[in-house]
Amino acid sequence: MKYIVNFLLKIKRWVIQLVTFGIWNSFLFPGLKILPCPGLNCYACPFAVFACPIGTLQHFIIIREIPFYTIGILGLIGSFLGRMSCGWLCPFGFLQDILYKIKVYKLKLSNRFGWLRYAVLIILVIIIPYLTFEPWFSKLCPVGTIQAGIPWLILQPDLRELVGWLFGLKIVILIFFLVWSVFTSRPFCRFICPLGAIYSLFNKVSAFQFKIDEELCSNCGICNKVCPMEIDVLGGSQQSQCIRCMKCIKACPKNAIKI
Amino acid sequence: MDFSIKSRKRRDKQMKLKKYHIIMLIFICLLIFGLFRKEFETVFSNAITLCLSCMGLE
Repeated sequence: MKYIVNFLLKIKRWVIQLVTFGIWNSFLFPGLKILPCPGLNCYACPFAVFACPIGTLQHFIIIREIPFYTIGILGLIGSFLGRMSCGWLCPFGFLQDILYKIKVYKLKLSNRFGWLRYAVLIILVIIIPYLTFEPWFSKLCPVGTIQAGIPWLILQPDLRELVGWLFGLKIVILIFFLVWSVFTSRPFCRFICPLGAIYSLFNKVSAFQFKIDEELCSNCGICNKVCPMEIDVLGGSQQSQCIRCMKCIKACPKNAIKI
Repeated sequence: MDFSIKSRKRRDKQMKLKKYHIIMLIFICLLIFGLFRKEFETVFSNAITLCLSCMGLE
């Protein structure tokens, strides 16, 4: 574990995110679609390697079966990594990180409404698909629009006949989150993502935890300034929004934050 | 006094490790049960079907 942590502290996070995005959408191993993806990567993407975990959950809910296999895999990932998958692997998180680097006025938002992602998980991923037999989160998901909808319409002109109001709504939702990501750090991850909500449940017990050495900490607040999820870092990594990006660890001048 | 605090911390750390291991074990059991029920076939067949809903096309 120490070797993994030391490696992650040395390497640039965007390198891992970029490589992961490339691998997850390389279509190198078609058989891997039996595995739910650790991050939010649309399986309708022409080159997707894995299955979408939220799409898979909805499918099982629609066919009235309990997804033991999918829950087992997501639980294993969550109990080991917590929300680290969000910070290091998720392509939509990566996109939001890139957009936030655009130098404009930044809007700091409290995580008070972080409970919304649990509401999205329960209502849009579980209840509504159960009642309507339709995967409504997938129908609205901006990741599907940018990874699947737009590429497929470019690659397959025949599909353009099927474009209707739903596609228009998805484009509006996508643009909304892309623009919001320029002004606020990771808004989709903090307030909407149901996969992030699932992984958040494991943050308190996952293998990757960090602690503040109170004797070394000088309360300078640099860790809070660099945190992309805008949490109070001194509150610890057990907070549900912590994505274990390790920015706070790298930024701390006193090396007071330890994994 | 210091020795009792250190042994308590070590005991706490061991308990935390045990909790994390138990949780992983539970999910491994769920995963194995899902494999036994061949749910991966359902996952695969769903994943290779072009998801028009995901693309916003009806």
